[in-house]
Amino acid sequence: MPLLEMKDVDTFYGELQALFKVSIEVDRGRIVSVLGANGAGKSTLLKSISGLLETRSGNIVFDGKRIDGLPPHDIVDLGLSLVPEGRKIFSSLTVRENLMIGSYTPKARKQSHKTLKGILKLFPSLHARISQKGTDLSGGEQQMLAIGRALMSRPRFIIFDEISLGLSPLVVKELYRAVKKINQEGMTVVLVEQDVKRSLKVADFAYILQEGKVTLQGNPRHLTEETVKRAYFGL
Amino acid sequence: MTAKPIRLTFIVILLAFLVTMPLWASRYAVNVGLLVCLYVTLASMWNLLAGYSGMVSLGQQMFIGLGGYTLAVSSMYFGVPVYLSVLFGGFISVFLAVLISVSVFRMKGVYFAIGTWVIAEALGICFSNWGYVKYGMGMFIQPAYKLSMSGVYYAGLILCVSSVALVFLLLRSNLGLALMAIRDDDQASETLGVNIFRCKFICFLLSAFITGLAAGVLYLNAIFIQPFEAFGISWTVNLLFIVIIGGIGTVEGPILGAIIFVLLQQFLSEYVGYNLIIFGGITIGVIFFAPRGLVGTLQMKTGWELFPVRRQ
Repeated sequence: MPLLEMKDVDTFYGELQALFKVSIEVDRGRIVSVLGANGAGKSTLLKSISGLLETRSGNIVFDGKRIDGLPPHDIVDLGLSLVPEGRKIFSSLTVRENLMIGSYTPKARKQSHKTLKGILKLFPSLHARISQKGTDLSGGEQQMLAIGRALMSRPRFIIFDEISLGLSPLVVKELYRAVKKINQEGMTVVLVEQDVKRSLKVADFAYILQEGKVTLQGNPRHLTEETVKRAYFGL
Repeated sequence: MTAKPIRLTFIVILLAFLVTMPLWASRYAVNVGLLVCLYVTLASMWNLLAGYSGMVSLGQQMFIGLGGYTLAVSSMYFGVPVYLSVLFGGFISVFLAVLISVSVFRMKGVYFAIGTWVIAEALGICFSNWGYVKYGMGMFIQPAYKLSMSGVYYAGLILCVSSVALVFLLLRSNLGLALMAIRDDDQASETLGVNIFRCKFICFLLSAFITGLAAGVLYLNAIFIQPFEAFGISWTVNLLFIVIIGGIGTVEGPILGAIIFVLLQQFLSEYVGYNLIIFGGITIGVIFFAPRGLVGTLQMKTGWELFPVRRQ
């Protein structure tokens, strides 16, 4: 049984339909990539999974439990965590406080000191800046902080929304190394990206969205550039 | 690090001054001290809502009126000891807060402000038409005549110290961290596992409880309660003045603001009519020149806090 299963999900913004019968499966321990241009519905998909948006029909099952309709904090508590697009570092909190807020759920809070140590080992550059304001960090460090913050809830399943957005290639490379390491530690990973090439390179499986529908899915090694382009742009 | 001893010395001196006040000060001065204590309490609770939880309430007077009337009814009609009646006032306020939370928590921003205000106004009208509490004529709280000034003063002082301590400890706790995160970005904090409703609910109930208690002590001192005064918007307008000139979203702001407010109120009491103009003028001036309030601006310039709530 897949860890996350989304079946025939329709999501609306008021009257406007943004997802059309989207079905997605993510198996345990995998890295799954979700691709699509601006407005393809990637963010809507994430908001539907994390509980920020209510789905109108279909269902979402995480580890055998239906999560559509649950409030976001309950979904986090089940072990599903999100690194938001644009990092969303809390501006009035220090690096340490930003990390601590990640382990807000009671289960995670008990182990927060241990988790924090592990995260500082994964991102040593955060260690030196632990007492600084989160938003005083460089773009790359802020992204590391956002990832660390999501890891503080000790998730089994972690979604990265546009982690390479606006960062230098060198930093992006380092971040992807971290993503692989996180995956090797046993976490199931979903990468939502516009950087098609890089994310297909690390993914075990890919979904391509266009105008709110899944237009292509499969093992990235079996997808040709031609079919990806067509599914991505609809040409 | 010499900041900590300085801070502690300052707090100890301040507390010693306040605790010994009834021994050496005049009755009038003690009365002013009591008013300061109560306004610090009320303003801290409004600040907890507006400054930290993003709930700008214009209806704190509903808890003031309810706290006062609970004191009046239970001490006059049921012969309950006055201080126990004050405590009842706090519980009744929490009860009201739970009742209305279902509806007011659906409102955001300015709608929340208006919603809470309307509830307070409605309660004022209800009480003024209710024979049991003597309609609009109001009630004299006779058992409060027998109380000593210093007894009431100490009740106010205890409330004042514990409400400041409570806000301080709350902000240093996990709940405080969550409140700050919600204030920065509510959606991001939600996806990190913060239960926004729960955080705001806790603050709302705490604020209602302590406001209800403070109202009880206030009416122990005032002795007379009347519905349109008790449920009037001017209470919250005063709190707004205190918190804005002191510094919204700071622990110390309401303290400084309350001292300034009560002293001004005393000095200006002879000039009825002009006092409102002066209060308004000061508020506009502070908003122009120190938008974070006196304490907030001072903290930004010097970095010194009496009650540091940040985790280093």
